Amino acid sequence: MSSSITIKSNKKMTKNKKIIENTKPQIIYIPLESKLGVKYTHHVKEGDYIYKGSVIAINKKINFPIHSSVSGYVVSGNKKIIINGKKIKCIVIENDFKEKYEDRRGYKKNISNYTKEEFINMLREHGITGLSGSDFPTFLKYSSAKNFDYLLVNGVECEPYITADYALMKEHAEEILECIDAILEIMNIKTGYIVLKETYLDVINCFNKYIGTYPNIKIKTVADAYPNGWEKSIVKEVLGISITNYPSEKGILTNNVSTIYAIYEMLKYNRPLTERVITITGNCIAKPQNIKVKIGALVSEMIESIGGYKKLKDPLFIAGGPMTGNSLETDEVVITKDLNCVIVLETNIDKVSPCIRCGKCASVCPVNLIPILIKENKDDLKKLEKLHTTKCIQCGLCSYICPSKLPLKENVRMAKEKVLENERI
Amino acid sequence: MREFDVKKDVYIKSDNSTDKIMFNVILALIPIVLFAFFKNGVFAVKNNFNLYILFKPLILILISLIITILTEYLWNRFSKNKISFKEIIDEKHIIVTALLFALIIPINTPIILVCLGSIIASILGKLIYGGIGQNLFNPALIGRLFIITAYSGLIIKEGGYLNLYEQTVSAINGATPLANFESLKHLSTYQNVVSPYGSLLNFFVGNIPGSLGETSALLCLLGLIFLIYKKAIKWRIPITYISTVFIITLIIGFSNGEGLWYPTFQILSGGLFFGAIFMATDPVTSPITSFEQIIYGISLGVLTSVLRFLTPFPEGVLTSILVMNLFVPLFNKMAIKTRFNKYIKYSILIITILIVFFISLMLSYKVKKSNEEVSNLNNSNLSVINALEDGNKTMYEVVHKGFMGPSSIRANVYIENDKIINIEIIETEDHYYDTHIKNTNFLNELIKNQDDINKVDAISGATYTSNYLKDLTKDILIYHKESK
Repeated sequence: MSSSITIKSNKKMTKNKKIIENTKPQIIYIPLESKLGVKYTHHVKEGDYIYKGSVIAINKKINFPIHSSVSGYVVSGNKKIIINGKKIKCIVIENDFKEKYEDRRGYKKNISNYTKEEFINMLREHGITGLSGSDFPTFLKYSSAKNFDYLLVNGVECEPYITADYALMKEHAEEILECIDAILEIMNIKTGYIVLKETYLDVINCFNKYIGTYPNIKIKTVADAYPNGWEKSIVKEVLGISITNYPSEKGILTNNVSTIYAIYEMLKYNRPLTERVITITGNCIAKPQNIKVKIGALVSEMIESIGGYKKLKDPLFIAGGPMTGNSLETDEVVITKDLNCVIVLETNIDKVSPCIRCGKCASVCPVNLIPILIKENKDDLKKLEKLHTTKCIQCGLCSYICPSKLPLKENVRMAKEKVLENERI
Repeated sequence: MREFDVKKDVYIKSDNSTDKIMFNVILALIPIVLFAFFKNGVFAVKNNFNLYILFKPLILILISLIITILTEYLWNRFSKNKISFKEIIDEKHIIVTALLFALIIPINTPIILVCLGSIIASILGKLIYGGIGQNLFNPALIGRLFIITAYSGLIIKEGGYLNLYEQTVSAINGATPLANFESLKHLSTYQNVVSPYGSLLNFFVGNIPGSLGETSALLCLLGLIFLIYKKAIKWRIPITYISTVFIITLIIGFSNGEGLWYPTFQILSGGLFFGAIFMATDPVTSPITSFEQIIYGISLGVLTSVLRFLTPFPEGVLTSILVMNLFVPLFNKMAIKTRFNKYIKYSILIITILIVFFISLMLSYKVKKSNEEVSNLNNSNLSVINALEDGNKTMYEVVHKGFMGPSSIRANVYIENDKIINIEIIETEDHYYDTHIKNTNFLNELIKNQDDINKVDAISGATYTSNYLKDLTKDILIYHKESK
């Protein structure tokens, strides 16, 4: 189960760069559907004046809001591409750069002064979601079990190129620790672990500066391999517990460090989730950066602001990491809460050759699938079910390792969709 | 706004490639090619220099390479695939096939058969299935199967597996170790099986008769280590394959009172290392998943042992691999079950292990029985046709087993006062008698040492005949005593 391999990390370009800020987009776009197909309902109409941080759309099923990250007037709607490549109808707000909140918001000294119920409700009201890319509302996670024994804070960020979490940890180690401590107190959890790659010596040092005052928080490291940042794999690695579906079933709470930082800002400044750090990198970006951006801004504008593109032949624009991300046809992509990285790179992926049945795809698969057999039986639904196709976590290792350069991940993804569709019918 | 191409899949790839894997296999084969040149070229001419024989191993390999590449090129030309000649040469797997084919054929294979075999290997082994990745059988093995089954007579006539030097070593008697083992009907003592070829170290290094490049277990092992390091091999197959043969023959050896040399001899002969490491691991024709690779390796071991002990075909390795190739699709089907169901997986493992032990016991019993038969046969190696008694003198007219057959020595033995006084060889089919023994003092030595016959040294160059004559002397005295 714990098969993982070392892959080229390509993090050097942005690893040691400070987070820069670009929180002044001209226009923001708030898509009314998430990449998983979750629908949001309008809360505002054209011509309304919107304060920063006010609710502009809501997921009615779970009463989960999205906030405006700027203040300004709502203008006529427009479709924009989101992370998965789909064109989605958006609420469009013209930024007046006043950053006006509806009410005055101070900051709290003691951020652990909440009850569990208050806290979970806050997570919902402030629109906190998992920032590693899952887009899963955090309050659901926190209310998924009565009691939790452990809090795992995932700072592994195992996918190549991405350094958003890394940069955030280096600059905000103290705040992250303070927030973890507060969560432990509020949620009545005994121990919290910060999980890092063993190669993240800088970050470990940053945490070590402050960790002395937090006896309940421990640092654990995992090997520098992929996909070691995968939830199931860190739980197994750190606690030795195997989970079948969700960590909560074993009383384990997992959060990404960026999410923890968003929770910190919520507790400390009463701020809803309207900003996040993303990495913009790749060999076609003039100056790769970790950049703090407003949710709803366009990637193209952000890239322009950090120096634009380098001229290279046939680059690809990838929303997300190089293993799990999507290549998109344009850079006019809306930054949503689940976008952690943009890579623009020239790939010289070799041409595909016939499968020599080396079996490497099967041996690296972290969920024990046989990708090549799934590819070969992609039209045979019965076989696909026998091959447990839906277990795929889309980590991309099969495609990465394949010596024949076959697009295995993509084939398995299509097969998986086919099976899921069939199950729905 | 900027437009981009869209491409679905991952966006970074490992620097793994099919060509790299094949290139590593070629690197692992290079020492073996050199070894083939030294053993079957340089050493073959050490007593008898001949430029052609010296370079013959390299010539065979080169011809195989050229013909294989040409076949691939022409095939692609005629099937209208636009592949340039350079692209064909860049396809490393073609070179691998050619090298493997050349290394598993006997040194005395006529050039024309090498050409024919290479063509068959490429076309029937690979191209008609649609090229690499589609073939069911290992192409090199198909080529070899074809020339060995169709033209073995021709190859044997040219000298078979033995190089020029080995043909002159009489202890070897014209046979590969396993052919020798087989002809001895499993009457396997270290003296009979290993000693003619030196020691087990010779087996390990590869200084024994066999196909062009398959004899050196040492170099194959180094190749295996290199390929494991380069992650270019399904290593579970050779490890389980060789271990299984070792365990089965260990059990056979132990139950027949032989020591560790017995399984060691078995794994070091018949090109097992070469077959297990380079032929059975051909990625295309072996199972995809690791558990099935283990079962595959064990099955190969069982099949090879069965072929060695139950059939008259001693070289079981390559046949086993070809047969097991046929079951690879089945193994891949099995993988779908075992991958997600631990119970099925462990049941299969346990059943396989039980089969290994069952086969071991069965073969042990078989070998024991045939050993008994052989030793019974030994008692009747002597048959007395006529006995003329005259007082305390007796003349026996006898027939004894010789090298050429069970009645190849006819002799008259004269006994006086229970002592042999004369042995007359009337007729023998053992031609080594005429060339090596007739004009020596050997018979007189036998008469002189008739009470302690083991003192007599065999005549080198006619070891078998000498030993049969020694047996004859011993046996006739026993017969004489019993008949009184």
